[in-house]
Amino acid sequence: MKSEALSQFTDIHYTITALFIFLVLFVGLTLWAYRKSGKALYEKMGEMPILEDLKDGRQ
Amino acid sequence: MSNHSPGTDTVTYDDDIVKKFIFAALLFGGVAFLVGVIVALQLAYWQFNFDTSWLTFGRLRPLHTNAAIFAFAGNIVFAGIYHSTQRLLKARMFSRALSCIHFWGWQLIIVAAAISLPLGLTTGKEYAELEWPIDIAITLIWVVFAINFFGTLAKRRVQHIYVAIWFYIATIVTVAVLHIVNSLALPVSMMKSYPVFAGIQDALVQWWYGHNAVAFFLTTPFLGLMYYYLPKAVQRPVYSYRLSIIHFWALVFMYIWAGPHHLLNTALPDWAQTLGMIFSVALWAPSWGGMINGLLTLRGAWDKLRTEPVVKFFVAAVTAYGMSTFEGPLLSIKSVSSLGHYTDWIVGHVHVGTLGWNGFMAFGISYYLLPRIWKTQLYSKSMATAHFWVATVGIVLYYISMLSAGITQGLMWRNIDSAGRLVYPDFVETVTKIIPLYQVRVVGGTLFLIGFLIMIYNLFKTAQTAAKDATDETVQVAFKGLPGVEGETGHRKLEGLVTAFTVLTLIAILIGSVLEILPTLNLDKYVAPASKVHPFSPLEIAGRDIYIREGCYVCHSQMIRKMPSDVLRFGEPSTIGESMYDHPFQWGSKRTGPDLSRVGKKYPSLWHFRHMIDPRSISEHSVMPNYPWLASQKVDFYSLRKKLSVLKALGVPYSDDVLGRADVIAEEEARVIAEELKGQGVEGKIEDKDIIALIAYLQALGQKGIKE
Repeated sequence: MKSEALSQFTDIHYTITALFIFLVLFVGLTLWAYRKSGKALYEKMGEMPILEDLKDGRQ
Repeated sequence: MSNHSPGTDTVTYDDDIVKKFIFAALLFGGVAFLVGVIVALQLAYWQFNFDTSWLTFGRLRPLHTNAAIFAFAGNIVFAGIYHSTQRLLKARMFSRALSCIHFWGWQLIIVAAAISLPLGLTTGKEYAELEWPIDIAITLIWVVFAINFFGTLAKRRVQHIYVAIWFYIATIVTVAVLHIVNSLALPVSMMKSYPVFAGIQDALVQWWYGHNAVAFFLTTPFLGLMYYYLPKAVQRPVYSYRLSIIHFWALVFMYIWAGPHHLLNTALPDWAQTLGMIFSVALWAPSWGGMINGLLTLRGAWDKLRTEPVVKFFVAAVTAYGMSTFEGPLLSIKSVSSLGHYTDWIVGHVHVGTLGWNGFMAFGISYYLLPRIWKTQLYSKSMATAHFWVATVGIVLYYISMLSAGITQGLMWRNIDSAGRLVYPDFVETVTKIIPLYQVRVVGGTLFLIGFLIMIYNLFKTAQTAAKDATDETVQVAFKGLPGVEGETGHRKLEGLVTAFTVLTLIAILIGSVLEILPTLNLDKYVAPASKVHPFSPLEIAGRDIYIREGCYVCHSQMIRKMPSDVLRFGEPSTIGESMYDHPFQWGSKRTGPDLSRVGKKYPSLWHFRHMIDPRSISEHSVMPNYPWLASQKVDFYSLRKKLSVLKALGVPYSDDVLGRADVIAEEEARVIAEELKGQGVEGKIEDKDIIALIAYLQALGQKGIKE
């Protein structure tokens, strides 16, 4: 009954590896995104879609 | 391009291609919704199958899903991407020729799908039903789209790449990977192929694809559109650009793992189920981050929600996104899935996403874009508002009816009395109970369709007021280089960043794909089941292809879950080995009818014969269509040698003797079944008909695995 044994097969390493990779990336990303020096840039970036409308004074 | 003043260039946007894609989206949207109402009617009243092969539910349902996803949503995504990308990058599309090839190629693919699916030409893999020549065409057109898109990125006149573009990049890269891997198949003939994966491997690859089709065809591109059109509509920058960055990376990294939540409690190894469940639940966070980011963009502009129909559609769409991304993680919890899986709850869940999120985004974008492209005003705002309310009531009716139907039926299936017996042992009893809810769904779907028709009329009247001399929009951009970047080096550096970004995205989706799928693709290293499972006989293979052609898997599962109620009703839980030679796997995703994995030898062949011709003669309240053509259409015996040799090439152990005489063996098998039926009073020449092959297959289900 190898196949049945396999269906119970729990490879904890894959789960742990996956979670570890994700956690590290996620924390790193959050720290990077919220670093203080980025503020001005992000404000500028956020206005990109409506930049022309702002210039036109349509706001 | 002409120079207006020193140092500036005039860029003219290509809006003609945007218009074309919107028209196509609206045209095929109408088809998708209409077919949706028809299939909803068929479930409520079986007579609407009209005893006609190409009109039966099993063939129309794939047409409905393909039309909704790839024709309606696909075309609106392309329209939005072509429109917003040019403006965000301050550049005309890279190549007008590629734009046109992309447009016409995609429409040809849709037409090919609309013809081949009702004819029963299908791979039998949900949302990937199209046969191999169409799959190749999709790949080529997608590459054309990618070249056109990345070409535009390369000639952009802005320094920074707005977050919407990120979502488009993720879409293009991931859809390519998903489509190619899941479509890997060996052809038998021009319109028939067998996928290279089988059984559990096929199941995992299919749902890795299936769920990420939702993620990267119906979510990421629409999020990109949300990040562009919502700020445009309310004239406010997105609430938090930082949040959008986290939203993007978390979503791209996590979505790819979620596929196994479609296979909870099945024969899939537990670790893969758990992994899929955890990532699905975790997805709630970034999804709601995105929803909040979208909704809070309206801060200080909420009054527009009252006056602007476009904003109404966008806000309702983002809310629907929030609701379905809350319900999705909920349904991915193993115990919730044990109740909801195979029921209409899933169907309801999906439609909140497609009708609410994708549909309303598409409508909002259409109302926003077309008047602007035509340089005019929308003909009637009140008509658009009427559309909004009619469609919203439609969605609510649809969802509430399906949620009730799903939970009702799920609870009936699992109801076991104190003596350990099923309270509702007769499957059809659990179906008749929810038929009234199927009727409510027809009303809901019809309302959605009516709302859509109101929009078409409104847009038609708007078109009549279009400026006759409307020219394409232009913009003045810096002649050379990019703002804040000095010379060529800076430019190149940024182009390099796009590449780096694309590669990073690819890595993010590949991590999940590889870690989750690879161990299962190596299953054969752990199991040597050849000694335990027999492949299907030639006639059974012919019958199996008929089963796939008629879309039986759309309503019948072949996967008994490891749950008491499933085991009591259908028998021993399905094992990995039993489906190991199934190219493609037929585990199914919905039980409108009972599971069939152990139906073999349960009933006499005559039972099946009568049941296929007229299900009501066996089970009075059955909602299954009649299949009269199966008794008149002939089995294609001669293709069996080719079919079996392709299957053998894919690893199904057929002996050379069986391969060489496949058609002769099948004819002999058919003769035996036909003789038996004739002995029981069936008349006419039936030994060469489809129905005999299908009966052979059904009688073989659950009979091939040998217990040790």
